[in-house]
Amino acid sequence: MKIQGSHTFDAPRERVWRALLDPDVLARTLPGCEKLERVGENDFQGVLNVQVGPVKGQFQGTLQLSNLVPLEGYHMRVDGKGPAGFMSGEGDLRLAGEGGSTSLTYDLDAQVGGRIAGVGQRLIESSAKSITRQGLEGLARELAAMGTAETTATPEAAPTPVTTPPVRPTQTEVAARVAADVARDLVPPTRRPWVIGGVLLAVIAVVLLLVRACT
Amino acid sequence: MAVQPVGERIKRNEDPRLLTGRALFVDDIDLPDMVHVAFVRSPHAHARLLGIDASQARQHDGVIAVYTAEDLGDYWQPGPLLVPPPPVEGMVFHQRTQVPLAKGKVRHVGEPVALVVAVSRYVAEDAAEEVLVDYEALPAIVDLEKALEPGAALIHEDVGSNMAAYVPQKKGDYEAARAKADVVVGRRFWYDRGASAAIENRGVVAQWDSRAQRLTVWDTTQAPIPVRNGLAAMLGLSEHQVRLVAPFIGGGFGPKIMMFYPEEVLIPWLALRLERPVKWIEDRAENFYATTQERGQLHDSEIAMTRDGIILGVKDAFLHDTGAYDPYGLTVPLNSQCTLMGPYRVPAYASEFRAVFTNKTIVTPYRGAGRQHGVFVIERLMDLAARELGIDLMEIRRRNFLRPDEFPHDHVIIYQDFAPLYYDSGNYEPVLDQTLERIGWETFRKEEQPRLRAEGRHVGIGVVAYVEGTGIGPFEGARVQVQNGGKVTVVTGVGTQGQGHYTVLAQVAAEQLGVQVTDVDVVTGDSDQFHWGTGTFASRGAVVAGNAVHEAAKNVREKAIRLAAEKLGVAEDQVELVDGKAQVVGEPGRAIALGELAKLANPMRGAVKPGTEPGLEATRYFGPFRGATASGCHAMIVEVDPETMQLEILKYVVVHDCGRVINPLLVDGQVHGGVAQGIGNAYFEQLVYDDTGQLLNASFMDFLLPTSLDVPRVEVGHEETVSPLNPLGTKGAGEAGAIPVGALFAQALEDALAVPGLEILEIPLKPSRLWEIVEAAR
Repeated sequence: MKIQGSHTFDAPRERVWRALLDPDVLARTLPGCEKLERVGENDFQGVLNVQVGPVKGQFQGTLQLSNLVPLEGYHMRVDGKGPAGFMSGEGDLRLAGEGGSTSLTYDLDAQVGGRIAGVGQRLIESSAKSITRQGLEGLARELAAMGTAETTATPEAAPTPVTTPPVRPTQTEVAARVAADVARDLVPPTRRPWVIGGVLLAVIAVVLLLVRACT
Repeated sequence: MAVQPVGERIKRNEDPRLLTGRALFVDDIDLPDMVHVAFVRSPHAHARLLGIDASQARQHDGVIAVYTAEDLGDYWQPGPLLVPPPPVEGMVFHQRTQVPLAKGKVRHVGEPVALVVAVSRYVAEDAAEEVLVDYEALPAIVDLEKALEPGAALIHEDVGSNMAAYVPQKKGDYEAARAKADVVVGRRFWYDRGASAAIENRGVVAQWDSRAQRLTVWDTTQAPIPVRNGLAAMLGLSEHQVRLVAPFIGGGFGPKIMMFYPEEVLIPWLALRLERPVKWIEDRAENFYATTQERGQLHDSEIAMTRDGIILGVKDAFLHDTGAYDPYGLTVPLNSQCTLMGPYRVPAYASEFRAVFTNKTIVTPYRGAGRQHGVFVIERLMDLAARELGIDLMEIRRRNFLRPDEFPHDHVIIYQDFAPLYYDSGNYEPVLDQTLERIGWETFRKEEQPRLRAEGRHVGIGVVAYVEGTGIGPFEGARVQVQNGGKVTVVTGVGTQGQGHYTVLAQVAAEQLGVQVTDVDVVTGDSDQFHWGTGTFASRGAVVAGNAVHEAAKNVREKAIRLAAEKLGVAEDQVELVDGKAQVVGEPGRAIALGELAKLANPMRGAVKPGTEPGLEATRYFGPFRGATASGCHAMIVEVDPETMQLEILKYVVVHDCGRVINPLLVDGQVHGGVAQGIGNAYFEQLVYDDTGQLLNASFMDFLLPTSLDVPRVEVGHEETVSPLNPLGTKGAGEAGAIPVGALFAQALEDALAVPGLEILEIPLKPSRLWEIVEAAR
């Protein structure tokens, strides 16, 4: 599975680069990430909660960065495994842009195996897209927060840790967003009113049944 | 005779129990103190197993034990080879059988690497998630051709390649036949994998009684007696210390004849070791990986003909996907090889196959067991050749059908029973005639189709023919006994998975003994009741066990008549068995009830005469000289929406010849079920693996089974060409419904879509794939 795309941040390249190397920032922005710790200069270990359709699971994993070219990008390799299977991915992150705007281009080749592949297959691409999108949005928030921290701090007070990091979404929120994105991917816009109508009807029917059962 | 049960449409004896939920299935077994097992399975298709850390799982509350391959000690052994390779010159076979728990390496997703025993399945599953396994992924072998390329990753390094077997077989001189041919039609055909998807998954429960020193195992196997014998040997017990019960089973279809599954080896071992009853029931998610699958063959085939459409020879070379191991030997590809000549006169046949190891679930027979591939290839070649020669599709078949005077027909090559492929009997034209009549071939082609086409509807017809080798040896046995109450017991060793053995075998006994079918109690699948037997496979239950029951019942009949003649003071030929009595012919008043005779045959005083046996009982065995070859035709009229490729089957007809029909109702049911599975195989079901060996549709959300809305009413006709190979004259019927459906879909869809040059050369199809094929042809 290819995970490819680009995203433009309203932040200078230097700040984006710094964020991309900061495990705390990554942990906060990566949806479902429970923890991410640096274990070597460019090696990280972490725990990620992933839900793809009916398959839910915790992945223990490693993140290795290589070919680091400051302000340009790096190569990354992710390996995770858990009861729901395994995932591994490899690819490049590239930065470009001038001044206050930076574009991040990502190109990753990912593999999943086990239950998550066998049962979640139909939803895996849309889930991956959703997780990526949420991650990028989270990163944008982080960058904005870092920006605010930098401008409010006096230049002498560096290095300034991020004082008020944005609130990390809960797992339920992440799952709900993934579900919404997956639904958007699966149901063409023209049919959406029908689907919503159908779901509403079903809900009403269930409520009526429950009321009848209780009386 | 008042009772003539054989040949009647009799409702099934077992159905009241099944339909009211009173039948025993393995999962119904619930024993005091029982513990439950969950397996840790590989998520990788091909990986080195670097280490397993079970320490956390062992600490889990409620966990009794965790085992890996290392913990099994000497009990860890590769499984036995079920069927040895055939005695064919030039044959190569590399035996690599599955192991109880993976050691060193995993070779397919779902291969068990550890097991957890706990107080409940819930706890076992939770703890299984805590077993940490360290894998190093290896390149996966998925594609059959790439598997054999030099430099391909090796699944079994010591074999030196991924070729599991090579079997060349020959009849006549194909090259000479080809040189004489006016036309040679060759194509490449692909037939992909499917799952048998029985309604009941597998399950094993085992209980060791240390006081009685006996092990009882309940197992969803199709082969209770061989499993008992094998388990006894593996566990170091005497065969009589092991009781194997295969109770009611929710569908076998072949994968449950496979032995020994890792779970089947491990659960009884755990029961002995832990001295507690142990239960494992496969869940559906496991079933997609851990129960054997079938199909996956790539054929390069050609047919050489005269311009009149007479077959001079057929050549076929194919690759067979055997999965990660080959415990079932070569039965499936041999069936393909040996069914490929179909019902036709093929003077020259050159066939070779290579079985290929892949990083996928093991392949063993599944309803049809490779025969559908052979039928698909020959039927497609007949269609393509007919088109090329401008001969009617049915006419070209008639010209090549073996005629009744050509039987028995020796096809020379070696069949799955290791004897030359031998068609005992057959009469193919009447089957085709009846099929064409029932489907309305002439009217449809001449009137309906032109009319519907003028309305813009895409409606097509297809008719294909097939043969099915059935009822092979080695043997089955049966014990028939008349009880004091007059009821009759039939005991046999074949397992039963819904075929209706409780009825068919009762009918056979009832006919001999002049009793009601409902008064015959059939016991199968319990090794304590009868401990000789092979199993239920190859459409052989009614043929082989049926004839064993017939022989035993005939013997009991003789005993009953002899005793009745003595008591009634008449000659033996003056006694008949009617309505549960032995009576003097023409004098219904002079009679003795069978139950009375049973008592007289088992006296409390006096002596049983020397040279005779007590009771009205007999045990007999039947082993057929060769398998009996059944045949048939399938036909359908189908409408297809050329944009969505959604199908509607407007009419479906099967005319089937399985020799003497014991119960037409049951044969109809067998055919209906087979057709449903065939339709699934042809247009719904496909196990999709990606190039890393991951199964991408391992649930019923994505692996589509046909529903009642997709399976049409199937009209079944019977022809009866009695087999000379057994006293009942029967042939098997278990797989006939499933075998030719792929070939039928291809032919009928080509006709319906009417796109010039459209050739359907692969199965399974699905709407999106059919659309691609049609677009490519346009």
